[in-house]
Amino acid sequence: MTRQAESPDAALVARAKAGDGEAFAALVRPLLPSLYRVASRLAGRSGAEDAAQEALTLAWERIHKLRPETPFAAFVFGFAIKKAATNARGERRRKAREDKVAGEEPTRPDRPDEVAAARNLQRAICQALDTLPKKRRDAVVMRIDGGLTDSEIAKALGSSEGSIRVLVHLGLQTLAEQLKSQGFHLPTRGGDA
Amino acid sequence: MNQHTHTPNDPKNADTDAMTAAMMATTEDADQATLDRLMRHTRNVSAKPAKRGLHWGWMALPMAVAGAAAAVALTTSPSGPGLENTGVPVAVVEPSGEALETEIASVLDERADTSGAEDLGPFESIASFDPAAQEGDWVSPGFETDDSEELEDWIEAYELVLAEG
Repeated sequence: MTRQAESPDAALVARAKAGDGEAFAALVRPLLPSLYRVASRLAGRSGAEDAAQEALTLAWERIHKLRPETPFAAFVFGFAIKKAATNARGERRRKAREDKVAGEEPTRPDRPDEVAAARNLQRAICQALDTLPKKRRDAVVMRIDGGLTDSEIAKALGSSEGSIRVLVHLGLQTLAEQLKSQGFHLPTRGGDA
Repeated sequence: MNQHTHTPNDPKNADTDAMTAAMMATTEDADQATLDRLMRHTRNVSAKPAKRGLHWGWMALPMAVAGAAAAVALTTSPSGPGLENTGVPVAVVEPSGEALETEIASVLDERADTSGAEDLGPFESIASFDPAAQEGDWVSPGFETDDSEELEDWIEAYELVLAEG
């Protein structure tokens, strides 16, 4: 799951900044699986591809603003997280309006008869993530779904590596507390589910 | 070691380890067809010269316009350096408002897809920005709201439009 930590290819970045689309594509290719995972965590499967595409478009349009000290992955993932989170909020508001018009209750993720348990857990994680302070949420998603290193996340979020470790730890702790309070049984080390 | 940092296999970290496992168990992986589409998109997009017209800066939020609720939302939902105290991201246009208009139209189109064109809420105000804005001009929210989520979306929209800080 964890992407190999590697120093950005400075030559490819320089070529991409000069307008070389092939160089940009070469930088993007190894990131796509984790980019999709990050987008789907926040926007869901239905919105993940759109969010990833929009993030890639923005990354190309803004590549000239990529600072030397910022890893390319952190640059792209920053767009993906913002796009996915904003799209997801719009989608939730649209759904809530539709439910209201139809006189129905908003979808509840914890109804056992609604979807499979794994899907419930996935939705609950997504909703719990949305309640975290944004920086904490971004750090958790970049680490767990994106596989970024502390150093890369720190560059992306403008923090120190120590702060990132704290943000991720606190974020996971808060998520665990929220999910347990909703009755979810989290897997433990050793493998029970 | 900081008490909040993570030591694998430490019993004190049982919750965070379990949460990590839960997240990894619920990760959505893209199938090969999706990855291929994303790669095609990347090639298509990067085959054209990048649009380069905007950068962003910071300004003091015109609280009188945005209202007290906005002030609460901003102080509780910081969105970038300096926002907690003084401001929100704004457009700094170069060299004219034309590129900004294009970007705004794109945001509005996206919103129309999910929100319905008749109900764009504060995003209508984005469209009303002066297209003749010059470099260094400030752009303000220009709407009142008691909905912190709407306000945050406005800010998010600017981050999306104006991207890298």
